Amino acid sequence: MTSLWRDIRHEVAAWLGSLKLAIGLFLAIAAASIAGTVIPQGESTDFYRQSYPDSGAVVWGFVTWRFIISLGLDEVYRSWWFVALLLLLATSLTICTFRRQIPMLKAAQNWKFYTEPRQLSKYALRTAIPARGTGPLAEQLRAGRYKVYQRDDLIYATKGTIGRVGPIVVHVSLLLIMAGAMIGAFGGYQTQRMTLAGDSFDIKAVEQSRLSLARTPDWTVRVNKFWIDYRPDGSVDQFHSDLSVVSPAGKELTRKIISVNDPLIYDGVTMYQASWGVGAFKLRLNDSPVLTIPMQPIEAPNGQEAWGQAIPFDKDGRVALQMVTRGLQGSLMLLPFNPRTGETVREAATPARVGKPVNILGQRLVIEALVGQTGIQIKADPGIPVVYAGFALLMVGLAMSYLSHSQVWAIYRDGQLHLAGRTNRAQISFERELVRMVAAVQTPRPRTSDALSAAQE
Amino acid sequence: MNASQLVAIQVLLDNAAFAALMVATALYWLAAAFRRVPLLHELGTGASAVALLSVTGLLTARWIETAHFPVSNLYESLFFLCWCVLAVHIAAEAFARQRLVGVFTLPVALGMVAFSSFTLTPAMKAGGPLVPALKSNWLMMHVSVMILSYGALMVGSLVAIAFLIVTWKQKDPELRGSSVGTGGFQKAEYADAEGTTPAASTFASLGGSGGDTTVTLTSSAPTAVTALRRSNLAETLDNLSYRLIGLGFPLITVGIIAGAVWANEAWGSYWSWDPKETWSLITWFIFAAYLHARITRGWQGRRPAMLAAVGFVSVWITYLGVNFLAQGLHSYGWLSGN
Ligand code: HEM
Repeated sequence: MTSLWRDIRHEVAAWLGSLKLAIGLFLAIAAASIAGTVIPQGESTDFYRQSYPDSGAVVWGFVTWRFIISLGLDEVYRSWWFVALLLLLATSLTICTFRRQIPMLKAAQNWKFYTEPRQLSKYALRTAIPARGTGPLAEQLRAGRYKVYQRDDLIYATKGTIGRVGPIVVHVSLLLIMAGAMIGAFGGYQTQRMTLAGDSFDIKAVEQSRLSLARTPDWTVRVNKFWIDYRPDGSVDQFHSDLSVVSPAGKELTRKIISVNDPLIYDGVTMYQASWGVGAFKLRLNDSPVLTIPMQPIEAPNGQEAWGQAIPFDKDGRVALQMVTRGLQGSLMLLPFNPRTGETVREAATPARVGKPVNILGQRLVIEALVGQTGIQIKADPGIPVVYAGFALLMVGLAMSYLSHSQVWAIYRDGQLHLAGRTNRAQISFERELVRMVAAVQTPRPRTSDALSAAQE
Repeated sequence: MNASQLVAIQVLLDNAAFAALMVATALYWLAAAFRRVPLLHELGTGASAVALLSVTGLLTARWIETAHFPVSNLYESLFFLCWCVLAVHIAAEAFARQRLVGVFTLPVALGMVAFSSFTLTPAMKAGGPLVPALKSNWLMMHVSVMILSYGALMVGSLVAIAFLIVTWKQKDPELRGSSVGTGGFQKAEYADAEGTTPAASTFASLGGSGGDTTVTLTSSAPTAVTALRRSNLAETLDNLSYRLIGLGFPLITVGIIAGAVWANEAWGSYWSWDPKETWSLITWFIFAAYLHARITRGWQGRRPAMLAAVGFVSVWITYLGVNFLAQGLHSYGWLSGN
């Protein structure tokens, strides 16, 4: 019973650590990912019902919305089977490293001298040349940065063993990256906040996975200021938010001006500048106090971004005023219209600038300010350091993996030097290196061109 | 030099590159068809060097004009990709002393220049300032390393396609130079005919194997002395494509990592399954499958090369196709011209 169990375990491990499974997994993950780029992800059921009907024009004859939803193709990258494929890959990697790679590395270090010329005949790259001993070859090999072992008339030389360590480093770093991703999935969260300049936000309500172990902070963030740099042609160059992190007791813990690509990081939480809008404007009408009125994103006729708000403009509700702006540069358009019919009063449309009084329909109106609204992306991911460590190690491991592990054996017997060699990656360069060395140690030492022409005769 | 002069130079060099690539492609093809005509190869190499210089000049002029590394729109990135393909092609040709490569790489480079010259509107060709999201060193590194890796992977998989054609009728060519493959060892069929170079395929003389690939070292010894048997044409192509893909794979990995780090710094998430991101991962997995297929017993020979050919298509989809497929983070007006 125990031996059967051991056999089964052995078989399963051999299957899990096999290269064929690994290649199958690579291609399966690639194929699943393709499905995720072809089928729109994360839409509503209605969307799939409309785009992939189950009768009439069925996409490719079988891709119906039921098919998509039941297989989780609407959220491929979060479906249980996709995650299972990734976990299987991680398992395969772990087992492969211990069962295959470490033994391979040991085998590569476990070298031996060959003592009989015929033992070399199994290598494809080999020759026998007249020579005076092993000395000149050993010298050539050392000059070629080989590590040379000599005993009597025998040579073993090797270089690039690090090329055997490389793939192990690569595989371990991939496991690190996957581990970091798991830590992020269980310990992280994210959310967005749109906040008016001057207001504060907290990080209580966040999106996190059901199994999350994360705790959200109790401090709040105050947006001291928000502004945009414009280019001369009116397009946005960069946007900035001046943020303060404030403790529950009201103490400022830190402060930073963030912009796109330059976030604020505090207490493991990262706050990125993500978007912006015009949140409100400050208005004074005749002798009124300053009124703050919110604005909403609206669609301008030419499809460009704009923000606007309509306010009633006379007592009987026959005229309203639509205020529209394209950004925070300070210019607005005032469009009077009839709220019942929606008709604009074209001839009364008036441009306005912040701070400059205008007269419209007999009233004096000043827009004191446009108040920006900053869109901040908030994210905590405790797995990042692990993932980044994995990235760094992966690059090192890949660089190591490019090196080729080369081995040369030689036996000197009766005036003949028998030699053979093999390498695992850079075959062409290795052949050239060996030919050059052989030409250099051969006796009597004719000029290489003579040897070549002799060969052609 | 003022901006309009720089633009004029770019137009001139754009045409020069196109002309040089036409000539180079024609020469490589002629050389493949008429193997005995001398000098065709040398002229082909010369023309591809002229094309490389023209593209270098064009990119430099654009860099000076816009004051940023020229990979910010489709026109610039196509020319940078063309530059990478040509540079890798010339390096590979010199390294492997193997001129068959150009028969496959030059038409691809020509196609890139033709596409950007004939299908892109003037507005899409013009250089401009960077949008805020692109202003980042990580991002510039990400984009340029990605394109560099596409260049190496494309040339590598084109050489694999050449290998597939050269070995068309062979059932199971052995691969040399792999960790667990038997290629390092003597094959039974050569055991009798020591030292003879196996009959190379129809392309053999094109590979220049008559001159260089077989070096026979003579000996006065009466015993059976073997010469070092060096790689034949198919083996050279195979090893060349392996080394190129082996170079492209770390590059695409660094490119993806730079993109992930940038996304994390800018958007707060290092991976978001955006279509372009996903396709780069798909390409990465296909080439990982290629690298592992080479060391799998029973999978050697033509199969890895077929995977590389699939990888060639995947690189193109990653680079271009995704812009037609979907709107993601990565489609900053690439095809809309603003
Ligand atoms: C995403 C997953 C993986 C990646 C990116 C990866 C990457 C690599 C790279 C770059 C190499 C060096 C290739 C070369 O010699 O040119 C390599 C070698 C290797 N890999 Fe993987 N690998 C992955 C998964 C696996 C798995 C799951 C297995 C085992 C089933 C495996 C087994 C091996 C073996 C045995 C080698 C050869 C080592 C040698 O040549 O010394 N790999 N891998």
